[in-house]
Amino acid sequence: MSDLQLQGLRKTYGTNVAVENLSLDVRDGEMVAFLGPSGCGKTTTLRMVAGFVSPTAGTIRVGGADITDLPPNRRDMGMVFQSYALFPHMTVRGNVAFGLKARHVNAAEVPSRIADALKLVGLSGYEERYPRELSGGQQQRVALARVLALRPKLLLFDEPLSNLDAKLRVQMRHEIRSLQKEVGITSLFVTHDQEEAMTIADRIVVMNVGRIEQAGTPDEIYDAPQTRFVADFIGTANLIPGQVADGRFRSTRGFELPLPDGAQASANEIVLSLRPEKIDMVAPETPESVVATITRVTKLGSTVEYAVTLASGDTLVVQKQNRSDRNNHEVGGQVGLLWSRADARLLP
Amino acid sequence: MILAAANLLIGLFLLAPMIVVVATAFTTTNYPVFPPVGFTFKWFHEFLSNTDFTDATQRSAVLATVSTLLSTALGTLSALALARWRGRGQQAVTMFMLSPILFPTIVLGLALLVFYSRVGLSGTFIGLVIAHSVVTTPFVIRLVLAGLAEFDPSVEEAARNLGAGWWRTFFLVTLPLIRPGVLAGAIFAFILSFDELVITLFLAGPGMQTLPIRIYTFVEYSSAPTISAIATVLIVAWVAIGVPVYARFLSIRHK
Repeated sequence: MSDLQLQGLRKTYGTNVAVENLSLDVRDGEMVAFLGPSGCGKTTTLRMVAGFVSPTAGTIRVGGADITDLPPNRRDMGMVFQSYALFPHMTVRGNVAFGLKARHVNAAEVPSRIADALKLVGLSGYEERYPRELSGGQQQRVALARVLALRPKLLLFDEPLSNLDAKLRVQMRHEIRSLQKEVGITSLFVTHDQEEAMTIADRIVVMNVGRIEQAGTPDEIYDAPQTRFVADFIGTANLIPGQVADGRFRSTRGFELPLPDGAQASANEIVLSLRPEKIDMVAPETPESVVATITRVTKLGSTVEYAVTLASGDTLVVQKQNRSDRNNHEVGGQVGLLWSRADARLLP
Repeated sequence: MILAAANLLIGLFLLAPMIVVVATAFTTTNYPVFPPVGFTFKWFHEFLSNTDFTDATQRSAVLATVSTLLSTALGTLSALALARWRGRGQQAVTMFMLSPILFPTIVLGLALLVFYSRVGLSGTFIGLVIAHSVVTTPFVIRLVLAGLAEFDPSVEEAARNLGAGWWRTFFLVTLPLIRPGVLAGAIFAFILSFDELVITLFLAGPGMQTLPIRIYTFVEYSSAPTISAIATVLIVAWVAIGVPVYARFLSIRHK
């Protein structure tokens, strides 16, 4: 019932284009993460949905109803802010009650709605505390309870975990995800943290300079990036510039290999994208392997990163698990590289 | 230690005139002397039984109250608008709004006199209210702006998002959070208006003597310690009413 449709959304500030022709359908109950570097338009998009920014063009529909021109207080959405945005002069109870009163929820129902919401976020017993008496994580839980108590049609998260320390951030990710599944409310989650997006979302929308680069499940985004930007922004990727000729990929430096499955031949400048962890290191004489020389070894704790140079001069990064019985290669050593054809992707 | 001693000295320096004034209010001589000679309440009686003085005090209190209400409302709204202004011109307009602080009051008084005689406001109570507000509003703006510096605007957005309209957001969220600045501005405005002499001299009509004008004309022909008694009453009133209000509301109370 509460699906969200964005159609041709556009926002300009003077000659500055913040969001350009953005269209997206979000299914009922789906959690969609907007991911991108700062200034990519993800927050502007969220603020247009919330009603704090009015679009220059386009429409926003919730459950089929056009809400593009409704003021924020009549949109029936719950937003969780990066700064928590709790009311410092009200208790936890006062904070949660605020929205219920503003929306004229039946007074007899208010206490139980507050209790339910606080129980949901694990803060029962904190009713009389003031925000400044709570930790950052607890404050963000109050902010969550405050919007959940309203049972809104849509939950909007604006980088809600950025102000928390690293460990708590990881824990809260899972909590928010399981809470969202439990209540089943359609949600948008803005973040610049790709791990956060991959943990929390059913679908990730990668944005860059006001446009959607790619929208898909976390797996699709990671394993099948559609553009150079997505391959580079999500995780790390070896990007080798080159051309397609005679059914083979030929790098600018002269390294050649058969086209990946399903790749379309094109004479234009393209890049070959290959994730560092998808490359196997084998003995140099292994059939079909590409011989390379190790030029750098970096231990990253749980993984080891190797920089290797091919005969053509192209450099690749290879990432392996840090295991004492394997992958013990040293600088100057020769190795053979193998990868599955499907993992090498040609991108425009 | 040195800082504490310096503080004590500065405190004494600031308090000394007040001590002298209060002491001279009780002298039995016909002019203020320090230390006072003898002890009498005569000058207080002189002040309170003189309708010229009491009328003027009442008029000043009413004038200060009305102009404080006006300038606090205008100054708060103006500060809110200035604090939210993103982009060009914000600095320039802020400076412009604050400029009456820098303007010599005697020039302002003259300018208002010329202007009022054209629009028919000279010698009216409302004319005085407006004139005082011109002087006091910039101080309200300044103090509310200072309070807004640490105001998180997303708190207002949260209120709107939770379903609150403009009024509910303003009165239940914004105003309680900027209250210290607003109150400091109001207190400042009241004191400035109550004490205002120069502009009022230009604009007050006959029979509209405020307390500062009454004192000013009084000291022109008399040196009786009555004015010391008036000053003492004002100081006591300030300590009894102003200070507790200041202390009670100047911090946001979370508890």
